[in-house]
Amino acid sequence: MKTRASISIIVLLLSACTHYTLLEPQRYQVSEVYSVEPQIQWNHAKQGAVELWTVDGPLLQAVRLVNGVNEGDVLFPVFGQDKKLPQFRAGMSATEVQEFVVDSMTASGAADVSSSNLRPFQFGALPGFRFEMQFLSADGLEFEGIAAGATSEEKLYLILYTGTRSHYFDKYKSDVERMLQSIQTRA
Amino acid sequence: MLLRATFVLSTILGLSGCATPQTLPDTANIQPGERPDITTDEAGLWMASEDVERRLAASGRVLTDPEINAYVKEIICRLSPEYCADVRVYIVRTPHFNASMYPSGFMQVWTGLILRAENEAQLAYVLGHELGHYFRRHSIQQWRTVRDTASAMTFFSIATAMAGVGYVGDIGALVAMGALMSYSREFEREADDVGFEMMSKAGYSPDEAPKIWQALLQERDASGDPNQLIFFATHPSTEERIDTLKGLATAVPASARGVDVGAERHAKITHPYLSEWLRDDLRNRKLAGSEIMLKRLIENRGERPELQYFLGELYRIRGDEGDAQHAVEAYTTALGQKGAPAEAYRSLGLVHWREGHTAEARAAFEAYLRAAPKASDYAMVKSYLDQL
Repeated sequence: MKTRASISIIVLLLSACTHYTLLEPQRYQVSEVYSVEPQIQWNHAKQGAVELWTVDGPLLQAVRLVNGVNEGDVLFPVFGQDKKLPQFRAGMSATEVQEFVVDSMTASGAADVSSSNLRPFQFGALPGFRFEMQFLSADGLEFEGIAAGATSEEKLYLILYTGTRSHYFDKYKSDVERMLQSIQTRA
Repeated sequence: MLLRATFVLSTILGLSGCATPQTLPDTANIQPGERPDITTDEAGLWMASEDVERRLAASGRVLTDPEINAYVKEIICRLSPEYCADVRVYIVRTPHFNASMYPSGFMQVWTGLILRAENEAQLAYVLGHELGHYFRRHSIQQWRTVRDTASAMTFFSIATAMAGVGYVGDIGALVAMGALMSYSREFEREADDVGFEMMSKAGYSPDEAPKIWQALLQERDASGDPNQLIFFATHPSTEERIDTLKGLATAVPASARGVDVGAERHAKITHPYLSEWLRDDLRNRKLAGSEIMLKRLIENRGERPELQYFLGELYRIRGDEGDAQHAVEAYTTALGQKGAPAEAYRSLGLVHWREGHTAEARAAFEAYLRAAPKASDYAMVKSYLDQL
């Protein structure tokens, strides 16, 4: 289980040796599709299609912005494992995207992942969705999460905020909520 | 983790097995209440095992419900009354068919195994197999064999490299990786014999022992992946195991033949977990094997709407040609049975929506909203109606 935990930390949370830069609280173009106002200063790293923002470290709390998941893509590649991972399919409903996210997190090593309150959410000008999550790390630490997203031109754009139920999720929850409300999509 | 460690060990032992025929060391069975002398390597193995046990207990993956824990523990105590107090069982929520026994007397039983056992007798056989490893002290034999052979350095290097850590030559690290709980085929055969003997003596029907392997063989063959199930990685070939167990079952005299199968009890105890475990299994995305397993459950347990619902979920997730129709049929069957989950309406609507069957999708979504007016995704599903 230690090995699996290591894999999940590397993939789901990005590795500790990732190079971070400071992201200032001014409007930031996340992708060609949308921009946000980060609200506060975040440590910022990018790996492929995934951006990670954190203040206290990704093991405690993080915002992940997954940009443009294509047909057949996985959400979190699990290196070194031959297991089949959930794949995104164009045309997925919000219910199926929720299932895709939850199953992907499980495949990445999170345990007892549950989600609730799937509801419509205005992702800038795009009709989107959001929901809440709860899960355990491989070592049994309780986490909470918020997921919000939308599809544009058959690609999935997802913002995922997670943090330990004790202290770190709540610490920046209101900032993340304001950030989600600040989403602006390009016309 | 177990799969990788298993591969490492089987590779090493397989290589050494080519050079020298393996014989089982003459090690006495562990005695009830026995603890190894603190100065021995076996005591070190126990300490490392107890550390793994503490971590597992705190992991949040262990089922704490008293009823199912009592069920598994009772089987163990029935199999081996004299060791009942020495064995501690942890039921771990993991959708794979596996169990493992540690030298200090703690046993992991994964929910994927309990889900796939058709009855108590089949579960008892596998638990007996694991107890066989404990009685025969296979872990310490494994350790001493590896330590005393020329392949030890290679073993350490490959095992630790596969686990993604640097060179570690101590027993604790190997226990933590599970490497010493992945046994040679000779030890597996011996544990098979012990497990069969125990379940037979405890009054369980010996005919059930080979059946669980036959079922797993079907899953493996359907998947087209020889490593689809962790248990197959080091264990003797399933065909060999089935033949051996059938022979053993035939040889049990009628006067000593147990008849207890325990199918109803097993179904009753596991029923509250059925939906959770099936959901976990589908999340594992080994859908060809899951399809075989679900159809077997439907055949054995009869009309259970959850089973038809998850069969529909499997087809919806897989989305191969013809799966949409199969999904619709499974959801419709589920909804025709008493106690069907409201989510079957929602999923039925999703399949129809994807297929462009607007009227059917609308009817299904409306039925979901009527059946689950307090559902947390009510607003989302209502928005689907606006999009149709």
